[in-house]
Amino acid sequence: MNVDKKTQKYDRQLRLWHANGQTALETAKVCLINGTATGCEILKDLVLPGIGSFTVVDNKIVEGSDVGNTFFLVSDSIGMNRAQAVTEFLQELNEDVKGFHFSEDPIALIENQPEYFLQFSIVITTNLPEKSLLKLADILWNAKIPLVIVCTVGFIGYFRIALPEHTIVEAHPENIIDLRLDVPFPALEQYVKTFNFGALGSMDHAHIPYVVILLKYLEQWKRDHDSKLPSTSAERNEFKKLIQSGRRNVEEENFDEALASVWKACTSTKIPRQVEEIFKISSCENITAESSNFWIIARAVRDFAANEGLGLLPLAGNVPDMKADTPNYVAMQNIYRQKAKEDASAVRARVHNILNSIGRSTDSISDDEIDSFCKNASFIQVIRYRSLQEEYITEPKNADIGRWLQDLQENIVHYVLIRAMNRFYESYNRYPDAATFFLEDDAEEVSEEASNDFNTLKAYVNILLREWKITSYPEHLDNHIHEICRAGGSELANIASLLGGMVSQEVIKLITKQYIPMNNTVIFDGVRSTSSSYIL
Amino acid sequence: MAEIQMQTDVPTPQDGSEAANKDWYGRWSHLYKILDRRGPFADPSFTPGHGDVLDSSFIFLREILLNNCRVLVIGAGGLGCEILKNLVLSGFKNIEVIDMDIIDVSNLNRQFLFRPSDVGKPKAKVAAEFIMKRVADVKVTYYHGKIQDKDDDYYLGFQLIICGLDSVEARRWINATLVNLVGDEPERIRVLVDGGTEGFKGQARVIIPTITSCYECSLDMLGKQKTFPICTIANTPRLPEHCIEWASVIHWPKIRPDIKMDTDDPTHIQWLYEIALERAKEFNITGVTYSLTQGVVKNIIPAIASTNAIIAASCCNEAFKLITTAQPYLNNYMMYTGNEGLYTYTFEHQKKPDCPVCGNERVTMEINKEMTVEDFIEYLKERQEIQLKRPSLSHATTGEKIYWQSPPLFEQRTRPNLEKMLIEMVEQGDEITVTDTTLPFSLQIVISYT
Amino acid sequence: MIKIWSIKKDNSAAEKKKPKVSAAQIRVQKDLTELALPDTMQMSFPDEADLLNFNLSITPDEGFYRGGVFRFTFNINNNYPHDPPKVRCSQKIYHPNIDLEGNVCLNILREDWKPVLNLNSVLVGLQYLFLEPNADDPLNKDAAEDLRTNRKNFEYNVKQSMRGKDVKGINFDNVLM
Repeated sequence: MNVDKKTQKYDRQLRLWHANGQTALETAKVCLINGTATGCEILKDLVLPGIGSFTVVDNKIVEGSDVGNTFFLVSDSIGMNRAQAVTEFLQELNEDVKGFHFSEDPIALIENQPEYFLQFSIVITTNLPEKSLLKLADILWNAKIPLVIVCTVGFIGYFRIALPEHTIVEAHPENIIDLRLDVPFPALEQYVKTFNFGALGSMDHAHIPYVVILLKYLEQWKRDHDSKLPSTSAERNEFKKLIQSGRRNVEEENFDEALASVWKACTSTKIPRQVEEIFKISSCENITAESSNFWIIARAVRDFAANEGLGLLPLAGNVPDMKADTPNYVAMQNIYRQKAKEDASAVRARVHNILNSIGRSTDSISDDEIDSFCKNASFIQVIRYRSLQEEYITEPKNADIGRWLQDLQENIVHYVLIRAMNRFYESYNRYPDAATFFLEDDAEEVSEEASNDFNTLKAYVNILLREWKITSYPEHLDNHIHEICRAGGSELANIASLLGGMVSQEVIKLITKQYIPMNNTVIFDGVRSTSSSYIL
Repeated sequence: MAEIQMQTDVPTPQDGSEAANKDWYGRWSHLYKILDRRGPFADPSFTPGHGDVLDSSFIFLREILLNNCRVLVIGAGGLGCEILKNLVLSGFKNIEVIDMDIIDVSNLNRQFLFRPSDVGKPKAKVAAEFIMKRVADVKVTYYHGKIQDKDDDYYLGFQLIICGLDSVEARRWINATLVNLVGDEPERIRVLVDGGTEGFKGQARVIIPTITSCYECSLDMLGKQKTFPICTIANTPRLPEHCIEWASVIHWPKIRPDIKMDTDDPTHIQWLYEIALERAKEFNITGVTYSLTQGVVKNIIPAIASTNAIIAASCCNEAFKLITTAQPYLNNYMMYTGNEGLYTYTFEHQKKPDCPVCGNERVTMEINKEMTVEDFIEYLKERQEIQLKRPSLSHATTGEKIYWQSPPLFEQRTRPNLEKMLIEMVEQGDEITVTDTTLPFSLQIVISYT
Repeated sequence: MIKIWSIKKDNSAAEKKKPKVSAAQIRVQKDLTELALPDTMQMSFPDEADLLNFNLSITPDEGFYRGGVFRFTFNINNNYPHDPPKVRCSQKIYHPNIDLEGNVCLNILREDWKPVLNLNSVLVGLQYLFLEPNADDPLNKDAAEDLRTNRKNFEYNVKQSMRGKDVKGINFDNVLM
C-alpha cells in the first residue's frame, strides 16, 4: 500500500481529528486582522496543519520593532506593507495553503465595507480598537461566522470567542462504552442464553466475556427480586457474592472484570441530562429548510428515542477489550454492532423523512454523518456563546466580575486592565507606556509623564468598575496597573507564541467541529504561569 | 522555595557594543520596556536597564542576556523548533542545539524550520542554519548526535538547558546528569526547563537540580504505555492491535530472525501490516490498517503545532524570567490540557524523599586510612543514624563491586576484598554507592581519609 | 542580580570524578544485592561488570518439572525500572506458558509491570510457572490442552521433553543435568 505524501505529512494530527477534520480544515478560509507578532503566530499554527487559505488584512508599514518580535519578517521587510511581508513568509510554511494579503486599513474597512468579512469561515483580530471590534462582532454574529478576539500585552494574553452557536458531534470523550447491561436488547439476551456455565471446561470458563457473566447473574438476580436490579449498596454487595459463587478459582480474571463493573451494570442506562437539554432547544423542535445538519439529525435522534428507541439513544456499538476467547468476543462484538447498525438505519429513515418534509434532498446529509452522530449521541454538545454586545453593553457580568476580583488567584484582573488599556488607547491613540513602579528606598522618582499614565489608566479602571457597579476598589489592582504601564503595549515573542498556540487550537476545534472549544474568554498570566477561563 | 544565593561571577563584557551596532532601530524595543523598568512582581534584586546608560552595572543585564548567556536546547523537533525561534526573538544570542534525528516527512506538520526538501537531513543542522539565516546576528551551533556523547564539562558550559524531548530515557539521563553535576557545589547548578506534549496535552516545568523536585521524582505521573498479555496476542486476539503485536512480537522474530526490525522502514511496516491483516482475517477481527500498524509498532504519539507552540513558549518564558529576573519564575510545574475547553494547572511538584536521582542521601565520612573493607562495613552497621543491616558497596564512578551481600556469585567474588584496605579500592574523595534493604534507595558516601 | 545561575567556569571541580553509574544501574544493584535467591536458582553473568545482562537457571525441586535445569536470559535497559526486564527462555521446552521461541507469558513481564516491582518479583513469578503451570491462559496451546485434559499424559510429555525427546513430532532440548 502506498500512503500519499499528504497523509504522511499530516499523520500526527490525523490521529487526532481524522480525515473529516482535515477536510474541514482544508476548506476553511481564515482572516487575520493585523499581522502582529501574535497574529503571525496564530497563522503559523494554522498554516502548518493545512487550512485552505488565510488572508492578512493590515495596512501598517513594517517597523524595526515588528522585525524584532516576529519570526516572519526580516530587516529587509522594514518599510514594506506588513500584510504583504508576513504573508510571504507564512505562505512558505506549507505549499498546500494559499496566502492572501489585503493592504487596507482594517478600521476603515469595517467602517465602510464590512461585508468584505463575510467571505471567511472565521475571523481573528489582534489589536483592534473597541469601537471597530463591536461593529465587526455584530456583522459576523448575524452571519454566524466565528470571531476570535486576541490581545497580548507584556506577560499577559487574552482571547475571546464570539459565535451564536457551535455544535459538536465528535467531542472525543475518553470512553464511549454503552453496554446496556441493565436493559439488554433481545439479540444480546439471546446470546447470553447460549452459555451454560456449568458445562464449560476450565479454559472456556475462564474466558467467558464479563458482559455475559454479569448478564447471566443479573438475570438470576432479577428472577429472585421482582425483576429489579440491585439498587442499594447492600444489594450490590450481595450481588457480588452471587457472582463470586460462580467463580472457579482466583485466577479467573474475567470474574474480576465482572465484579469491577457491578456498579455500572446496576446503573440504569438513560439519555444524559445535557442531551435532554439539547433536545429541548427550539432549534430541535422547529426544523426548517435553514436548519443545520446537526439539528436535523438531533431531531431524528430525539424522535427515535421517543419511539422505537424505547427511551434510549441509538447504541454506539463499541465493545471494550475484555478477557475472552476470540470467537466469543467477536460474536458479542457483532451483536452490539448489529444493533448499532439497526438503530442508525432507523435514525437515517427519520432523517430522510425530515429532509423530504423541508424540501431538501435525502443525500444532502451523508450516511457517515448520521452514523457518526448516532455513535456519539450521548456526548453531543451545543455551545451558545454570549455576544460581545452583551458583554460590553447590554448585559455585562457585573456580579461575577465583582466576585472574581476579590480573589487574588483569579486572572480576571487582567481583563479589567486590558479593557481599561483599550479605553486609554481609544482616547490617546497610544498605550500607557512608562516606568511607574519603584522600590520604596529607591532614589529615583516617578516622572510626571509616568504618573500621568498611571493615573489615567487607573481612572479608566475606575470608570469600568463603576459601569460594573463595583463599589470598592480592590487594592491589588494598583500593581497590575503598574505592570501594564511597564509593558507599554509591548508584545513579547514568548507570550505571542503561547497565545498563538492557544488560539489556533481553539480555531481548529471550531473549524473541525471536533473536541470542545473554550467558552468564552481565556486569560493567560505569564508572570505566574496560570490561566483562567471565564464566561463574560 | 529555598532562597539560593550563589555568587554571580560574571566575566566583564568584552567590547559588548560591537554586536549591538548591528541591531536596527527598534529591534529590541518590545523587550526593553520590560528590561528597562522595575515591576511590582519582579524580584527586588532585579536591576532595570538594558545598557543605554554607560554604567557598568547597567550594561550588565543586556550583555548577559543578549550575548554572554549560553543556552542549550535539547531536541530540534516539534518543541525544539519553537524553542529556538522563541529564544532568538527573546534576545538570546548564543545557543547550541542537540538532536540525533533526521527529518521525516511526518515532522512537517509542526516542525516549521523544515521544508519538504530537507527530509533526510539532520534536524539539528537544518534548524540551526534556518534560524541563523532568518534572524540576524545570532549564533546557533549544533551537534547531530546523542546527549550521552557529551560530558559534564560540556553541560557545565551552559547557563540554562531547555529540553524538548519525546523520550523518557533521554530525559531521565539529562536529569540525572544535571543533578549529579551539582555535588556539594551550588555554583554547579544548571537549571533545566523541561517541556513535553502529547496531542492536546502538555507540561512545562522548571527543575533546579537538587533544590526542586526533579524529572525522576515525577516518573510515576507518566501514563503507562499500553501493552497486552503475550498469551492474548498468541492465542486469543480480539483487537486489531493484538494482531499487529502478533506480527511484530511473535511472527517477525520467527520468520525473519536475522533482520532487525526498523520501524522507520516503510517496507518493514508494510510487511507487518500484511501479516497482521492476514491474521485479523483469520480471526474475523476488523480494523487493521497501515496507519494503525505504524501507530502501534512505533508507539506514535499524536502531535500538533498548537500544543508545541504553547509548551515551548511557556518553557522560553520561564527561561527568560530565570535569566533576567524580570519576573518570578515558575515554581515549578504547569500542566496543560486542551481537548475539553482549555485548562492549565500550576503547582509545586514535591521532591520525592526516596527519589533515586535527587533523593540520594550523600554523606561525607572521615575514615582511618588503616581501615579494611570489613572494618568499614562493621563501622557502617554501628553508625546508628544510618541504620544499615546488610550493606552492599560499590564504587560510585566505576561501578566496581567492593563487597556485595548477594547474589551468592558476587558475594563469593567480592569476599576476598573484605581483607583489603579500603584505600586500595577507594581513593581520597571518591564516592561509594551503598544499597541495603533498610534504605529506600541508596546512600552515597564520600570518603575522606584521616 | 542573578541568583540562579552563574557562568563561572569551575576548573578545580571539573577534574572531580562524578558518578557515571545510571539510576537504572544503581537500582539493579539494589535489586541484586537484596535478592533472596533460593537453592533452586542460580545466576551467571557473561560479563560480570555488566549487571544489565545476565542468565538465570531454575532447577525446580518439586512439580512436573522437577530435575530439569531451565535457563533464562535477562536483558535490562537503561530505562529500568520504568521498563520491565526482557526475559526469554533460552531452551526449547514443553510448557503451557512458554512458547517454542522462548517467549514467557507472565503478566508482570508485560501488562502488569510497574516500577515498584523488582527482580525478586520476576524470579518468584518464574519459579511459580514451573510449580503451577497455568493451562487456562496458554502460550503453548498443545501443552495447555494436554494439561487440561489429561494430567498423566501431560506429565509423561513433560518428562519426555525434558530428556530431549520428541513430543507430538516436536523435538525439545534436553534439560536434565
